[in-house]
Amino acid sequence: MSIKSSILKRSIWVFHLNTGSCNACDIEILDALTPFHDAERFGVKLVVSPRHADAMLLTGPVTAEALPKVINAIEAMPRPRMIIALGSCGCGGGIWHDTYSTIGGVNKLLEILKERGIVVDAVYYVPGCPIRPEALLYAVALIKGIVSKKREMKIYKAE
Amino acid sequence: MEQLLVYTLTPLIVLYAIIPVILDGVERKLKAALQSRIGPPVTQTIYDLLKLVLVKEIKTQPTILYVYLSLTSSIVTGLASLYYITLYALRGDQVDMFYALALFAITTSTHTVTPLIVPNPYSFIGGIREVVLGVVNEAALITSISLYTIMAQRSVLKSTQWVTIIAVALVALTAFIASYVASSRVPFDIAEAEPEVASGIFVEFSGSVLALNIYSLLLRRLIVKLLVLAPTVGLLYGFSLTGLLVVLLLLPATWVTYATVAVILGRSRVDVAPLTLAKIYIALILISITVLLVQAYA
Ligand code: SF4
Repeated sequence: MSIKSSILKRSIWVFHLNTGSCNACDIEILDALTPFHDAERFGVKLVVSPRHADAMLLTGPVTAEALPKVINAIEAMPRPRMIIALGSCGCGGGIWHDTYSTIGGVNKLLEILKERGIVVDAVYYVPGCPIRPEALLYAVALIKGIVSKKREMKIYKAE
Repeated sequence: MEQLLVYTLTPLIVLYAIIPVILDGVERKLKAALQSRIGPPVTQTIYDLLKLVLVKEIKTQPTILYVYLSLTSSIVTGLASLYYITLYALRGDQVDMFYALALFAITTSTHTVTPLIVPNPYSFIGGIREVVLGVVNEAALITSISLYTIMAQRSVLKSTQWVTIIAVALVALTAFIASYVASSRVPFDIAEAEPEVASGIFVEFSGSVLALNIYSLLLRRLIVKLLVLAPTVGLLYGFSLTGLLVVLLLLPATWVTYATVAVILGRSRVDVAPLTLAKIYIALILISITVLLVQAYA
C-alpha cells in the first residue's frame, strides 16, 4: 500500500445524501455516528458539504426528481471519491427497483455517471432494510482494509 | 540577551507551527474519553490535514487566488503574533504584547473575511455570523488583554488594596472568557458546527484550501491561549526564560481545560453522562482538597 493511499484511508469524511429513502436507513447512519458506536475512532467524520467529503453515504433508490441533485453532489466531491450505497434501496432499488419514479439504486446511477464522464473511484454496498449501524462500520473497516469482504456480489435476474 | 533571544525564538516558532495540530489530536482523544468512547488516534488531525492536501482540490471559485492570499497572510501574521507573545513572556515589555495583539487582530480579520470573498450564499451567511461574533468578542478580548498587560505587574500582588486585586481578577476573568470564545469552541464553534447549521464558513472549500482554513483556525486557538497565559504567568511568576517555560508547560493544561469546558457545554452519551460528570466533579474536588491540605501543612 502506498503512503498516499494509507493516509487517505486513515481519514474518511462522509457526506450523507438521502435520495428518496424512507428515513429508516438515515436514522441508522446517525446511530453509527453517535458516541455509542463511535465511528470517529476509525477516522470517520460527518461533513455538511460534498466538497469536504471522501465518501458519500447514499440512501434511497434515487428518485427521478432527486437524480440531477445527486449527480451535482457527486460531481462536487473531490477525487478520489467513493460511494457507500446503503440499504436495499441504495444497493439495488429495494422494493422500488422498477417503479416509474425511481432509477433503481446505485448501479443505474453509476451507468448515468459514466455516460456523463463523472468518475467514481470505488463503490461499497451495505445491504439491509434498514441497515444496521454495525454494517456501516463494517463498510468503513473494509475501506480501511481491517476486514475482508463478506460476500461476492451476484446479480440475480428474473427470467 | 540578543543571542539568547535568537536561540530561544527560532526553534520555538517551528514548535508553535506544529503544536496546535498535536494538541487538537489530544483534545479529540480527551473529548472521546469524557464522552465514554474510544475516539480517534492522537495523530488524527495530522492525517486529516495530510489527506486534504492529497485530494484533488475543486477550484470552482474565481476568487481562489485571494482565498489563498488571505489564508497565507492569516497564518504568517499568526506566527508573527506568537513571536511577540514569546518576547513579552521573556522580557515583560508591554509594547511586545501590543504588537502581538495588533498582529492577532490582522490574523482574525483575514481569516474571517475569507468566506465572504467566496461566491456562495451559504458561505457568506456563515461568514457574516463569524464577523458579528468577531466584532463583539474581539473587542472584549483585545481590551481585556491590553488592560491585563498593563496591570500584570508583580507589585499588584503585594498591594494591600483589595479593590486593585479585585479589578485585576475581573480583567483576568474577562480575558479568559473572551479567549475561550475566540478559540471557537462550543457553543461559539461556528466553523465546526457546520453539520448542524448547513451554511458553514468552510462550505465551498476543498482540498488544500480547506486544510489551510482548518490550520489557521487551530493556530488562532494557540494564540488566544498564549495571549492570556503570558500576562498571568508574568503576574504570578515574573518575566524571564523560566517564566516562558512555565507558559509553555501550562499551555497543554489550558488547552485541555478549554476542551473539557467545551465537552461539558456540549452533548454526551445519555446513558453514561451522569457517571462521567460525577468522576470529573470528584477529581476536581479531590484536587482542591489536596491543594488546601498541602497549603495548611506546608
Ligand atoms: S432500505 Fe429499507 S429502511 Fe432503508 S431506505 Fe430503503 S425501505 Fe427504508
